Amino acid sequence: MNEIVREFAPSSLIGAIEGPAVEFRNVTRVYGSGGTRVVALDDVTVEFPSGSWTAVMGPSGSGKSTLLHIAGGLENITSGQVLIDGQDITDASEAELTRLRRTKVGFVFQNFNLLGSLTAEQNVAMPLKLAGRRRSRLEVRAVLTQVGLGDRLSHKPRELSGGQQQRVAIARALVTKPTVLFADEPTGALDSNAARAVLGMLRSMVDDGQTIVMVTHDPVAAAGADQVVFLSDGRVIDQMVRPSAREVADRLARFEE
Amino acid sequence: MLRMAWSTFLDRWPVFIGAIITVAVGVALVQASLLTLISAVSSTIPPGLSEIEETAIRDGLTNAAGLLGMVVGISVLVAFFIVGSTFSFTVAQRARDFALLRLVGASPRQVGRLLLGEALLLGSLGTILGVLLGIPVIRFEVWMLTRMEFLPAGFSPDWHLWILAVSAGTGTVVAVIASLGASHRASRVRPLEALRDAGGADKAMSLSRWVIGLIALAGAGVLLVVTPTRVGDPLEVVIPGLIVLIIALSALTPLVVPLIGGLIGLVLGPLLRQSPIYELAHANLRDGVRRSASTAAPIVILVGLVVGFSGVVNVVNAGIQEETIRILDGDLIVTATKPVGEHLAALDGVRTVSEEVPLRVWIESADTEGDTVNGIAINPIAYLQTHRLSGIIGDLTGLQGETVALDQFFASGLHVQVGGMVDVRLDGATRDMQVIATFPHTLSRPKVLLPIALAPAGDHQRRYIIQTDETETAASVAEQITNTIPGRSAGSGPSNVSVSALDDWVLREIDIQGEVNLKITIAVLGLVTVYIVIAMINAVVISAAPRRADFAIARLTGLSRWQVVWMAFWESLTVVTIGVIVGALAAGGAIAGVTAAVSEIVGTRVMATPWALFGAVTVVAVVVVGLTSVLTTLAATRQPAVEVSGARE
Repeated sequence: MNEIVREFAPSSLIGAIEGPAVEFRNVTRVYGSGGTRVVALDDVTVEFPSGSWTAVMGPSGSGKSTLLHIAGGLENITSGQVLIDGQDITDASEAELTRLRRTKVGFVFQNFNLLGSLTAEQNVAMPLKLAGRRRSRLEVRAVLTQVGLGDRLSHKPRELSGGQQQRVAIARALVTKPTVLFADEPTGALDSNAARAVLGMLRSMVDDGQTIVMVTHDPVAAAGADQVVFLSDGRVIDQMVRPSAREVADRLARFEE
Repeated sequence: MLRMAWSTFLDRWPVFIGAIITVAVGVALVQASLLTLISAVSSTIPPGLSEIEETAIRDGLTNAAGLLGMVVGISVLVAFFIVGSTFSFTVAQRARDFALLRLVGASPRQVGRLLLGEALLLGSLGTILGVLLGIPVIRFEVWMLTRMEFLPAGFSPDWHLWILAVSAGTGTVVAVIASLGASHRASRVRPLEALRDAGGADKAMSLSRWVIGLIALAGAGVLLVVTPTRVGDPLEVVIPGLIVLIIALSALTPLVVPLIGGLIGLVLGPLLRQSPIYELAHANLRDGVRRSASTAAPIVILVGLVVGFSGVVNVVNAGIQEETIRILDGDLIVTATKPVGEHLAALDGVRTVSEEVPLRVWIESADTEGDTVNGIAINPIAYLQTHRLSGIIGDLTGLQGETVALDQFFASGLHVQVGGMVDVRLDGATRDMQVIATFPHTLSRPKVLLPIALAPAGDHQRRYIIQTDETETAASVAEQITNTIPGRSAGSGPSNVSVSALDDWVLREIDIQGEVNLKITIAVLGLVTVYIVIAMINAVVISAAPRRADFAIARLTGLSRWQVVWMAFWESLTVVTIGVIVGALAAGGAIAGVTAAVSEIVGTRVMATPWALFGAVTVVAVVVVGLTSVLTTLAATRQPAVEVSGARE
């Protein structure tokens, strides 16, 4: 395990000097009301530095996914303020959020969420098509080659392994050159080899200046990040900088106590 | 977007094939009926026929045109309905795809446009198939209508090139309009829905369902409750009322799904508690209210349309029987093609002979457009003795010379009262005639009474209603008629005299009318029924398509393959129950509306409920849906459960 940790150790924190890519200011998100009222995020203030990789961890129900959805403009908040790349998206309209998804954010999910009827190339080209940008096949192919799938262009998702599908998903998220890449358990459905490849890919993207916010359960995955934010009951209870997998695991174990 | 629609189509053709078939069959039906209709309206009657033959053919063609008009109308409506429900089904099944598109940057408009692109594509494919399918359909339709004698023998429909434009328009417009609701719904899918595992519990009653349901319900109320007694022929408003009621109740079906589900649970409670299969089936039903409602939709149309239509026609026929028995007051009836009134009056035991000569007359007043209606030429004194008429305004005994008597409802339609003037065209001559009297409105009796002097002297269908006196029995008078009249009448050939007891004659006429009504029902609804049954099969197949994972999980939980099939079968039976109950409500509403109107016109309570047909339609629905469900579930569970549940997109 230590090998893996070393392999993904951060090599550069240059990006972190710039302003935050995503900023939460006193964000609260409440679901339901009365007896069914659940506070998913409770007055959370946190920054995700530009050009860095942040892992968000915590037990089930701690609010990790809610945090990610809100950061990506997928969910509204009850109170507070959310900024992406300095832009306040708290009260953004549907059209503004669509623009945001086209230019500033990309998503990668545990279960890949590729469009099953489209080929790898078509899946990756889709965000560009939707944004109405002039797309060059070369551009799309370059991104796919970058994730090691230059020879799988015309394969459909069901013809690819899990790891390959996830790399297509990463290529799709990257093709618009987003400010932030949000990843929700990106290695959750992968075997350890495939997971390792995906984490290595994320690392090299960060090294090239990409900002990544990743929710994960896996201490090994978290150890690849530049910083780890721990959530519990909707609050940020701890942060670690460049921890090892063991440190993360120990910290998580203390939640159980 | 069109290319995207195309590749989605290639990938998901099993879901779309249903939509294409529904468009194709709809286009074929509309095309065939429209061509037959146009040919019937514009066809020329071959020269050299007698006046009676010519009139028969002309009347036949007019009736056929009316019938075909109804077929075209119902086909278009059913096509909208079925294509619409199929499209909304395909959207519901792919909510996750749309959410995913939104997630990677699609705007709501782009998703909506994608759906419209799909609709255009499916509509076009359906149209091409439909135009081809229309060729055998028109052959079948003409064969059927000729066999039923609605069309003259040797009738052949003309092919018009413009029908291609009409069919293309029908196919694409139906597909696009029917998918508007679905595309609106798809555009409102939120990106976050892509991240939820299942489609999520959808809202069973959408706002549009409420709006359409309540507006249509109000419309059906007006058509079925308020207007039937205010129009001459209740069928004119009750049939549209039935269709509007079916639309209303279909839209509101999700409301009754839990209700009926609960009812079934209550009735079969002990059974449900014992078996996990029933419990699971029941839970699935409650969970998928929308899916259940969509699967039930074609069943609602089938039961509502077939049972409602024939039920309504039955009620009117029963009303006509009541009315005829109530009005006619005689012992015998004689039909002949030559005047035999004097001979009949001279027979022993005959007290009264009332001659009636049916005529088609064209009539108009100063205020209104002309109309051709049924009339009879009569002798007023004998007529009043042999017909029980109350509520006559004016003096009917004065019906002679240039005078007419009118049905009160018809008279008010013409804006004339007793003493007013109307133009009457008969035998090519137009006369100015005074309205001498008006008589109460009836369902089936002639609208116009004319003086007997206007009846043609030569060959013409005529009837004589005879009252006998006490000196002879009706039977012996009848015997005298058969023995003495033929060949002796005016010495100009046989007069085709036949004599019957009046009551027998009425029953026979009603039977004949009943057969004609059955033919009309088959002619109007036969092909449409086939269409609806195809839609039923479709709905079951489409609803089962995305449930492979569900079935696999059920099997991994410990159900055998046959238990899963049994579970799905049980679910489909419940859906049939829902469809049958809602359809019966629609049919019942229309039948109740027409019953009230007919009872008011006839003056006595009329009852006629087509229980046998209802039973038969229910059996058809159970067999078709049950069998389809078993076959699709078997197909969906062919793959080992582990592979299905393990494989995610």
